[in-house]
Amino acid sequence: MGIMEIKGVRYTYDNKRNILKSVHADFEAGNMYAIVGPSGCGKTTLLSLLGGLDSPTGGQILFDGQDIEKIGLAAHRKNDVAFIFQSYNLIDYLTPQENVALTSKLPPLPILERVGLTKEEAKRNVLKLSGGQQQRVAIARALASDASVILADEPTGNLDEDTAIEITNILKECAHQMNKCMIIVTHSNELAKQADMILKLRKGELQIVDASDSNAGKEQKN
Amino acid sequence: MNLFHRAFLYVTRKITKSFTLFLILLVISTLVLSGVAIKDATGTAALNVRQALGGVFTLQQNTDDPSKWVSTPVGNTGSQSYYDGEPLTVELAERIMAGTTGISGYNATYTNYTVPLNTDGKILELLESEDNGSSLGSLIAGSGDFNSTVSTIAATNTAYDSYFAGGYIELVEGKHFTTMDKNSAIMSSELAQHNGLSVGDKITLRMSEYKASMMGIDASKTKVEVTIVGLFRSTAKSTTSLSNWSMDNSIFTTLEVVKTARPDMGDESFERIQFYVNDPGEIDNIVKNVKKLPDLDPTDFIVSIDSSNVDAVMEPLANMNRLISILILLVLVVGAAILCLVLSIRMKERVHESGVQLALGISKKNIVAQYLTEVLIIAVFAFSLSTFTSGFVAKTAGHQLLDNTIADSVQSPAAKSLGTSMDGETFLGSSDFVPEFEGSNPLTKIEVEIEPVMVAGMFSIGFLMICAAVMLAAAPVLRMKPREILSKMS
Ligand SMILES: Nc1ncnc2c1ncn2[C@@H]1O[C@H](COP(=O)(O)OP(=O)(O)O)[C@@H](O)[C@H]1O
Ligand SMILES: [Mg+2]
Repeated sequence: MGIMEIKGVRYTYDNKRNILKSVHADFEAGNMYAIVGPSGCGKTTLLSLLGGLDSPTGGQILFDGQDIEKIGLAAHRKNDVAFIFQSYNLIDYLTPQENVALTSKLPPLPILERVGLTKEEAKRNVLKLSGGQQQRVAIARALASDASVILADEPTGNLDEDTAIEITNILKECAHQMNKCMIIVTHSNELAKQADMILKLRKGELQIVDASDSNAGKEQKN
Repeated sequence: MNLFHRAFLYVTRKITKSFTLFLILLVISTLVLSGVAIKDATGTAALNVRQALGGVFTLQQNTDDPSKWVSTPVGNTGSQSYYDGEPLTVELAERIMAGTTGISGYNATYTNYTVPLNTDGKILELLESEDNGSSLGSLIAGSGDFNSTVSTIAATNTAYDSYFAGGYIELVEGKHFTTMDKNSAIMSSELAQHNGLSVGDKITLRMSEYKASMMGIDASKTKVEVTIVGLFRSTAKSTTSLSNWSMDNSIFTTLEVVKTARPDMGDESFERIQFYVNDPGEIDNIVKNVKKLPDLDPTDFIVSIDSSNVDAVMEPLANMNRLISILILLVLVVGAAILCLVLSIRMKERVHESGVQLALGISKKNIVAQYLTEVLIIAVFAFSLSTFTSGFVAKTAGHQLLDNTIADSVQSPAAKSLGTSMDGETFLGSSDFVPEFEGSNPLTKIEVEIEPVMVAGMFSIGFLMICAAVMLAAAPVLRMKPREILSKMS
């Protein structure tokens, strides 16, 4: 039993069409998972459910063996999970250090240095950092929280290829070294290939694809 | 990082935004505080003026009541009516004074007109003033010495005369007189100068020959000599129907003198008695007590509370007070609207930031509290500074407003109620030879002060207004559903 479990989750917006029909999955700490699938198939929706931003129409989501509805979605959001977004979403009037310190009591500098920012960059205006640097700050912010699960929605979507690889490596390292459960939605082949497990969302169902199967990434482009 | 720390960082890092909000709050609070201070000052001024002017109530004969008239037959067919109520005498005034507490003094008056002469028997050269547009001038042309007559005011104590007490004229030389000072007169210093007269000189008053001949009286037998005991100067503009009856040509003297100069008055007593009350707040009670006096029939008199003196001052103050109240309300409403609008726009711009904070597990309450704290931090500085800026604004605007309101307000002539004669030519209204004042205003300054209570009130109202505005503006944040966060963030 992993840190997060999805049991027969069904989801529909406005009772029309099932975006998610029957999703089963098991996520373990210390691993990086890549969720792939065509645009509009429900990847972001699934991430929202994992993050307790919404409730599934049917089925259960467990954190540490407990139904997150029982934990309380707000408490789950606050304590168990952290988000990383495609557009970084840093708070612009706070420095990188302050962004990291927003919800964490840990000293921010070591974490920022861990994801590759210099001391000087850690004190700069966040809007004066490059996209890659901003995403590093966002990663540091997620890592600094106590959350054992990190949910990232297209974290490299706005970055050039080289930077995307760097960020992917950081995410993977953090998952392994800091024993985090990293669940990443992505379009990027490179990122998906780095994952310990690739999960493909198709027709409302989640299938495990071998990480070594390079078709997983290619199929994305269809 | 707690919400106060976040609020502090926002306020200090978004300097331009903070500064514009600071200016908005500074302007609103300065206007409101100035308004309140001016309003308060007008209130205090009104109170001071009331106390300084005192109150006046006037006794007149109830000649309008037909039951007070008695008819006696004359000859076979005719009849003559006379008023049977108690006459207005010094004795009556003294009786009322003795029976009532709170009255500081009285003046009984009767206004008539006489011709003033110098000791050589020459008619005094009267002061010309602008005609009031009345057609009387041409009507009386060719009426002999009628246009040499002057308003002659019989008074029992000129110090309590309503012209003097109301500040329309002031004594510049000599002294006031009472009934004890026989054959005294007070005239204007201008008329005196014009005729080479000064305090201590004598003049003669007599009936108009024109009027006397109409009534079969020998005018030369009505001559009475008076001594000038005082000179007055007008401090306010006055108008009369005829130039010769202007205030500056008027002469104050005693009733005995007027009766000698005007034998046609018969045994008529005063037209009215004015009683002066120190505390205007007590005037209603005092009047009630007067009406209850045992040796007095209240139906014999009309008692009117004469507030024209006070009204002349109170009216501009009241107008100003109303105006300020409206302005304060307007500033509050417009200010609140602007504040809501500005904050709404800013909160909309920060929906994204709010979403990020929500996704990070910060509660909505905590986020809105941060936004509120930011505005309150700025408000503390703006409101504090406004206690200084409003001091300046209130003083400048207060005096400017007062000047404008005084200039704008047309005051009812205080003199109108002073005296009319039961005598008088048929073509004259009885008040035509009584000068009318436009009303001088002793109120030229108000004390505008910013008091701690006002500041405290402004802070509380301001903070309440800000709380309401932030709550309204924060609606989009409060309504935000968690499930919208990810789709909005991506
Ligand atoms: N708030 C919503 N209301 C109704 N339909 C929605 C809403 N959000 C997303 N959808 C629909 O649900 C489907 C899945 O969306 P999403 O999870 O964002 O897909 P993905 O992230 O895989 O591109 C899409 O067809 C989208 O149009
Ligand atoms: Mg998506």
